[in-house]
Amino acid sequence: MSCILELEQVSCRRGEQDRSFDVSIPSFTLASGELAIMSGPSGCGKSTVLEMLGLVLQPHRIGRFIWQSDSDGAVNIARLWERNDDRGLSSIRAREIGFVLQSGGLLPYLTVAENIMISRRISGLPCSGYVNEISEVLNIVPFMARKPHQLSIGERQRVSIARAMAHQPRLVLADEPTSALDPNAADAVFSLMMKLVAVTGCSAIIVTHDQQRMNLGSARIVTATITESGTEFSE
Amino acid sequence: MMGKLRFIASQGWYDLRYDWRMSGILVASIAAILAPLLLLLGLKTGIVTQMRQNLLADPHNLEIIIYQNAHLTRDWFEAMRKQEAVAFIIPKTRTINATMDIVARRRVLPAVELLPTGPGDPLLESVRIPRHWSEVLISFSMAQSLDVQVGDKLRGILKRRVHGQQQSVELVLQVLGVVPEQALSRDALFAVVDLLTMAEDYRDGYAVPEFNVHAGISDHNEPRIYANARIYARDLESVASLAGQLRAQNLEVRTHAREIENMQIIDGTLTLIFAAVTLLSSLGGAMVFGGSLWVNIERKKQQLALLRLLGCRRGDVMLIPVLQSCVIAGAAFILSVGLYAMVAYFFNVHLPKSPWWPEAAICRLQPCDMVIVVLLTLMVVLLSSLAAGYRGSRVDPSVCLRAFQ
Repeated sequence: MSCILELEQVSCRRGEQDRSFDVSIPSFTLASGELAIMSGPSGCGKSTVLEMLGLVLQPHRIGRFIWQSDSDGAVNIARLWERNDDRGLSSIRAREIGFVLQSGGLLPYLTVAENIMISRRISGLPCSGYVNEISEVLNIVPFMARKPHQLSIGERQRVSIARAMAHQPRLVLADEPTSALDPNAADAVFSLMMKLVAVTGCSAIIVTHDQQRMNLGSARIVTATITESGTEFSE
Repeated sequence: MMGKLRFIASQGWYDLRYDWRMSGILVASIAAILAPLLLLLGLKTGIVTQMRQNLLADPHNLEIIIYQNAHLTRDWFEAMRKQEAVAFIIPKTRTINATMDIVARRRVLPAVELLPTGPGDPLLESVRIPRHWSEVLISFSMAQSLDVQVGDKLRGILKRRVHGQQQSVELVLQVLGVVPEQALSRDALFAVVDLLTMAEDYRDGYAVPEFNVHAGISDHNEPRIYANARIYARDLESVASLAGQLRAQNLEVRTHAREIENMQIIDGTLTLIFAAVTLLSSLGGAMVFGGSLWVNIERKKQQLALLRLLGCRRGDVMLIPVLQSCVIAGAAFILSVGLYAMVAYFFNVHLPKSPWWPEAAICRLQPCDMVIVVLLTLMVVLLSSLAAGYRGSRVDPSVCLRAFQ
């Protein structure tokens, strides 16, 4: 299987001068179709890692950061950040990454259907039956015409997953996708997401502080190790 | 590219619609500035136009009066007639009026003023101009006191004293028309210059064959000199320059310059006031609108960050508040024109009218004024939205990863 992500010595400095700490990834690769669970205690820098992987936070140090794009081949992310290439970074985010946020992150002025379609529209993809299929799997078809504020948190989260996958990205990044849900709903949402990842064959990185979720057979587990200078994420 | 623009525009539009309370407040805040400005501009244009029309409607305001006995030659009149600033000029035989006794239906009007006229006389736009010395126009007051109508005949009596002997001649004059009271309110006759010069010749002792008077001096050797003239300028602006030119020829002249000057001063003052009010309210409007947009961007930071996270570029996100502002400005303009139209209608119906120009609106806007107002509004709104758009485009996409809703 080919790699979609290759990182070496990627780190970012966070916090104020006295209490600053490094969040670093010494070495990490992700093959296509692979699932990685990233865990650690609150405040250790999980979100920072996700932002770096999601191309929205510029790392302070990059040894190597390669993105294997479907269309453009190997893209050197370090170069894009150096040139402050918003267009290049944005277009990778639009085409190849799907985001699932902690509490949905849906646009309040759009209906559920429009919220799901937005990822396809931004990357310029036409409508597709695929969207209906995943909507059925996630059981959100009945409220396609509603606005987000008319949904429960669990329903919003399922819509958010549909949006993250609607444009068939190569990588889904999920940030504590079940933390706002009660345990039963959390289980349901989590297993739905796992199912979709397996069916669609995309890669996924899921950040969670929930230790139970780490008993997933095939998933790679990346854990945070707190050192003197900061946090290191490694397997 | 068009698809992208449509996508961005639709995001802005859906957001405006969803957040209709805020959109309404923004529209109202711009209309609150725009509607009074339109009204002020309308009143200024209406009042100045009306004053100008009033002045123009009364041709006396274009008149330049020479109040001394002058020596004006035919050449002088020829030269004056060629000038751009001169609308009408005709010689007068005397400075203090040439007169004639008039008899009609046994009533006598002694020493009726005799005024020269000719084609293009600004006082006589609506009546037929006499061509022959036996044709006259009479003023409205004269028609009333003599009880004569168009087509009636008058008798004009001229007297002279030759070698101590009193002589007189009686002329038959046909009434060609009645001059409206607005043009002249006193008793007077309008006739061709020939009648005046012949009457003058008769008084001076000459023979006038046209009057059937063959006794008297027969040859007229000296070139004719006129004592005065009726002069009218082309427009209000040329009155002063024409008067100045005559003064430079040592002629003592008088004009209605003060009324014209008043109108020009009021025009200038109102324009200045309007410009100052416009400037102040545009600045205030830009600050209010820019500030509201800025606060709005802060409120919607999460949404903009999400669009950025999903792959919208900086420029795309910047475009959202700019497009939204255009829609808001358009809606505010339509609302303002509606409000303006209502108040202007009220003013036009209830404020007193000019007697000269009863159909004129007191509050009116010209299309070019409207275009200027639209462009100004759009400029102010776009400038303030650019600042907000820039702020929006700097939103860090990671904002929405940390906390949303």
